[in-house]
Amino acid sequence: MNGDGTRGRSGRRLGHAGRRPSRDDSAPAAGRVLVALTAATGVSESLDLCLHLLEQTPAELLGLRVEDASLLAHARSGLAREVALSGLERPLDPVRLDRQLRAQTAALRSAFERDAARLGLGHVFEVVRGDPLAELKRAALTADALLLDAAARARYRRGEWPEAALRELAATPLRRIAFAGEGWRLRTEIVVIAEQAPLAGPTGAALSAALGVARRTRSPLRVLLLAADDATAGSPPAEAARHGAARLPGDIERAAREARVRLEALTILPAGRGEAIAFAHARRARLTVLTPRQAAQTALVAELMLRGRGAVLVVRES
Amino acid sequence: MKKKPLAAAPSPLPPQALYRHCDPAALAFDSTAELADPAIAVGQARAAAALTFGASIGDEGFNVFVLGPSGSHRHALVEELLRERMRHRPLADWCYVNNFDDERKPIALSLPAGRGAALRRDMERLTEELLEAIPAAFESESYRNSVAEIDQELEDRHMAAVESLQDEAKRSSLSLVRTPHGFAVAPIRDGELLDDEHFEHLAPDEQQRLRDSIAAMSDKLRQHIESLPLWQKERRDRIKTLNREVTELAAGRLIDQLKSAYADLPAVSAFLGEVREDVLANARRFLPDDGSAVPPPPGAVAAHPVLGRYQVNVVAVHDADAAPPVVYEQNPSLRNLLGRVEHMAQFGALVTNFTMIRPGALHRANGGYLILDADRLLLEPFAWNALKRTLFGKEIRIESAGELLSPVSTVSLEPQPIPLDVKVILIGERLIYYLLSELDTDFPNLFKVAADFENRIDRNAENTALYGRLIAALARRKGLLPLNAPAVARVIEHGARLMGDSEKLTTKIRDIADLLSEASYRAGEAGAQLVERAHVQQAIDAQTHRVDRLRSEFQEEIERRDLLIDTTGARIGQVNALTVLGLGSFHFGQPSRITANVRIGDGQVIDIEREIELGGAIHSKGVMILTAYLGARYATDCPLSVTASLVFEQSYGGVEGDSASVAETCALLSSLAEVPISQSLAVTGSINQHGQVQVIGGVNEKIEGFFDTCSRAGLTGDQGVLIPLDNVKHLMLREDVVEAVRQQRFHVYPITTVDDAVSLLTGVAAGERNVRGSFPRGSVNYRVEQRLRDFAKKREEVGQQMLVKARKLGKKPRK
Repeated sequence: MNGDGTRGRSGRRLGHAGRRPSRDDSAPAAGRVLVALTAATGVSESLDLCLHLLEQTPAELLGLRVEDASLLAHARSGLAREVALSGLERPLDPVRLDRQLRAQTAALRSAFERDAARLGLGHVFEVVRGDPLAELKRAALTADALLLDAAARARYRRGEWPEAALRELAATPLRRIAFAGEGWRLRTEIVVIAEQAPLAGPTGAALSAALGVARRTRSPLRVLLLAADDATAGSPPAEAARHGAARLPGDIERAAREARVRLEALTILPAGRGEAIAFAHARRARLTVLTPRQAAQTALVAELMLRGRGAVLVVRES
Repeated sequence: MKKKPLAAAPSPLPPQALYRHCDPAALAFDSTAELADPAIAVGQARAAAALTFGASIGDEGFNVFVLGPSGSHRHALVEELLRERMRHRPLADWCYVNNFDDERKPIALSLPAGRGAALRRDMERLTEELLEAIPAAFESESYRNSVAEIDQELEDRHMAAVESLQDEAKRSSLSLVRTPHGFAVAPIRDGELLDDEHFEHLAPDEQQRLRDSIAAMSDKLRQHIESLPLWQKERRDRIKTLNREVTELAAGRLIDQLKSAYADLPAVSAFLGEVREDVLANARRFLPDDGSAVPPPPGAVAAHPVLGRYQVNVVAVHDADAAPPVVYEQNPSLRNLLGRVEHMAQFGALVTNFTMIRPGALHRANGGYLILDADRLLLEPFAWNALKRTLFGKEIRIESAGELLSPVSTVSLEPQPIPLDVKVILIGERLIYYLLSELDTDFPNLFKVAADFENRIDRNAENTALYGRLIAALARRKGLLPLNAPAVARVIEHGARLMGDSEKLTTKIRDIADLLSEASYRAGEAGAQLVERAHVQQAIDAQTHRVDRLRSEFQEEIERRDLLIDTTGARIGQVNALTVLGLGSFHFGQPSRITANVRIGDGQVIDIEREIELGGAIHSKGVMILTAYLGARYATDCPLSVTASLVFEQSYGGVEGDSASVAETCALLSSLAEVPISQSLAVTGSINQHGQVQVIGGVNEKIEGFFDTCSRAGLTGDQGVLIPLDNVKHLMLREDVVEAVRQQRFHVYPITTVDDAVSLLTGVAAGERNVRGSFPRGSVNYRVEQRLRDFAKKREEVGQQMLVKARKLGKKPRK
């Protein structure tokens, strides 16, 4: 134990035996993927999602479990009371709380190691005791991609994480950031929300990533391209003319045809109304792919985390 | 040197009396191909009438027992008769369907003929449609949105409650956080957790306020937590209601459509109503992601563990306009009669359901006729009693031998019994019928009609013509070559020979059919287009040759003098009798030597066969009759003072029957009269107390047996056989025997009395009593009588001497 009562970076590094070959050996490896783990029940789905969302097999998975230090701080108060989900009310005992956290961690570690081994992925499991958000941002600095499990979304919904924290996470300079969702397996459509112009750069990267997922999951792909802000200036007919079927880069359309992915592209209005339309589509999707700008400048991420059931993927570069 | 026959002795039969030919010209056809099939059941009018009656009458217990020998084509005749004369009744299809209230007790549904299979198809189609429609409905955007809305609403409620509690906690200077097991509340001040040291520095009022706030917050948290299961239940209920609505939309109309198609059948309509309720209540069974249900491949729905519950197990199916079924169950075991419930091993346990109910013969025959072999039925454990129970109860209740035997009840199904309306036709030997009538009190109540098949039919012109058509039909049905008229005539003659009667024809059609097959085969081998008389004869000879090894061995033993049979010369007290040996279906004759010895005695004839328990009761009866005959004929005025012994020489097995009683009498008389018996003759026949000769069985085989012995030794012209006159009508002798008679190298003498036999066998007249009551001097009977008188006289003298001796000794004489 560290002096502050946490166990610090006591993660155990695991070997790479049984690693599965990459799906596309010519493509660059996805590097180190940080998987933020909260509940053991979501580990399997999170890792499956991880393989679906990334174009390449990750070189290494870093499973991060943050034991919330503030809980232990609460337990130091003699007046603190715990009301268990069984209805039992009792003093918040620091020893018992510590034991509970460690038991939770052990279950997570076991689930993570089992599923990573099942998928043939090299993996490391790290346990940190501290502020969950801060520790996550710190760990993200050493990773190429970040995946938050579905339990993290529940934590946000419960208000334990502020909206700003989400924005901060979405803004971290990682190649990809994914938020798992409970509805990932049940739904079908993949939605891309990106800038209409330019089609290259972040929009291109988001389209490319979404097409890869659509191909692997045999899902239809709907692309929503938000028009530039200046397009709103004009008469209603002109505005309406901007709201309709859109053309995508030829290589994307060709790739979609070859992969037999049903593709639909629309240009939608910018700002508030556009966002509302995009949200309406994205809320029902199994996966929503966002460019960093859309993730940072709009309330989409917060809304999707709050009301959507599908996964969210922010693609910074392909 | 042929003896001159006595004037009083019977004359030998002419050759034409030994074999009754069938005149091919009288058959009036060239080939059986010209002949139409005869009306069914040739010569079986009595049985046909009984069957027709039994098949037609609807009253209880009028099932039919068909009595008759095997091989008489009873099964085919019964089936034909039933199909022709059956009582037409409306038929019903029977199905087993799931009982959704108690799956252990499947429900039996009755539908008009032809609609059972339709219902099964309809239900399969419905299930396949539901397998597509229900998942599609649950995959719809609308359903998902509805579920999401419910979830969202409950989550909003939960979040609102938590937010409200957190706001309240803040207002009360408390921190509310989640722990791995629930929620924790702790005091804060200026945004920082208040540790114990700082808390102690607070004013007592403040401390108490915080304590109260924590207690109040804990209460509210508990209330919130307690409401969570209710919210979960509310969610489940709402989802359930939603599922029901969605399923109703997707499936309700499909089921209702089907229900309307069966609106005329209330039971089916009710079943479909239950299906509807079950589908609505258990829609998730149809969803592939439910885990319990994986969509089966097309056509395999019935075997599906979950979706099979909506299938229809048709156990009795008929075409809409079909005639009542006629079912023959070859193996009438309990399970084959009543049906069975099959089980399937699943994870080490045996499981079953209504789709594994298998029908029995009674299900298939319901509404019609069930034909069973009585002997097979009685040999099957539990089957006879089960059949009786079923007929009495008038319902088919599936029960297994395991359930009947086991003291422990195992988990199985109790299918609803199916009402039974069947006419059972039992086919069996007469003995079985008589035994059942005598020993089984239920039998007369259940089988009130006896259809007694004739063993034989008269060989008259009408029946001969019918027999010809029967032969034609058999050949046609078996795909044999047609027969020409001489061949048919030979088959008819053989039919009479099989019957052992020139005036009767056998009804054992199997033997005739087998002969036709072999004759056709031989004709085919010879490249003939028609079966001719020679082919039939070849077939008969070959059939005989295949089974007459033992006969040949016996004849060889006689020839080699292992068995002592003389066919020439004469001997006192020794006669050739004739016996018949049966080996399966083959019978053959064999001569046996009978010898007799006499001495003074008390009128006892010792049957050595009986003494050593090798003689049967009827044989003993014959010996007793001849003893009585002897006393009555020759010792009317003096005691019968003879002790005689009779034996079948070299007989090492049992002797039964009284057909040797004439021979035994002749041996005894020869011994008494001391007149030798010609060994070139053999005799068969039974006698009564008046010395009349009566018919015996197997006369043809007996004659042929002695003929074969004589032939091997060399025919002298003196040899022959004495048979009862009443057996002449039974003669259907082999061609070689007839030919020998024609050439006077062998003779067959019909006799009516013992005197006839004695005269022929001794060559001395037997002698009739004259008006003074005396036999002619020198006759056999005279000598017998004199010998017996001598015995009586000597016996009396001996008696007197013993009396004198006893008096001298002062003893009381024995009476």
